[in-house]
Amino acid sequence: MNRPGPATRVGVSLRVAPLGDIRGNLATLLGESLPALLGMFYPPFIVKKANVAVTELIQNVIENIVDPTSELLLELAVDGDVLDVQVRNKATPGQYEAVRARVDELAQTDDPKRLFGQTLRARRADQLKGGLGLLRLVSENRFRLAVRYEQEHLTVHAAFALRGNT
Amino acid sequence: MNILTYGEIMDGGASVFHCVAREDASSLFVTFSGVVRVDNPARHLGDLLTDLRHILPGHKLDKTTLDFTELEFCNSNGFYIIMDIIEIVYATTTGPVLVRRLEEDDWQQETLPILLNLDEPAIAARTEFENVLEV
Repeated sequence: MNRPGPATRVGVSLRVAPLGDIRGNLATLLGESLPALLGMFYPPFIVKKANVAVTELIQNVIENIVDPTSELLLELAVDGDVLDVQVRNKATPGQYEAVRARVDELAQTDDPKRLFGQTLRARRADQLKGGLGLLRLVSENRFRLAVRYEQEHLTVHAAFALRGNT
Repeated sequence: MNILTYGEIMDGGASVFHCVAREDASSLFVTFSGVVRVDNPARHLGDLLTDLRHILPGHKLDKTTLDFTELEFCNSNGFYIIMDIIEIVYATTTGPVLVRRLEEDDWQQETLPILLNLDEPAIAARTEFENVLEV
């Protein structure tokens, strides 16, 4: 969908701490409410991408909390150029390495859908929970992923270029 | 239209997802409605899978429609249960399968074909898509 003129800039930053206080499904709450806000300014297909990114990234954090006293930071921003979602939380070096390996694997493949399908079936056969969210962001939603690790905190960054894709 | 079985997911005291299997004139209709966001959807839908395995083989079903157009969202924790339902339907029926899906939905356009396992020639040969514009 082409929209004339500069697009509305929307940014949301959310901190939750301590993570051990979370009761209920935070991923659902944020996945539904933040995209609903974007829906005031952007078409449904952008809103749906934001919904998927927020839901999957927050779900990953909730399922892998290493320190219940630590903080979750979510930053979502969108303008005419890019939909940008970042999630930061405390993580172990091992968790970072696992996420980085998955992001590197996705960056190197020329067929993310095939990688997604293979991973999905392998994990399902072993009844493994999780591990599909990042793959989905790339294979299904064409996000670019980046990851960094600073001072015991992992940041996963998902970006979708609107210009040229809308 | 005869309802064969159904399953639902409750979250926070509310029904958030329905899967209903109906039969009418030797046609099977399986509809997926709502959102799949809970942590372990299989916990809610185990009875549905059992019912489908036992009920579908007892019916003469010449064609099937899988309708995803009322499914608003599915997180990655929901992929396995969707695959479970799809697999039972394909294994216990013969004939063509029409998959109704939303035209402007990345999950239904990009990931659903993977969950359907369209790389399998026998499944691909039975499957057709109908793309529906969201109202």
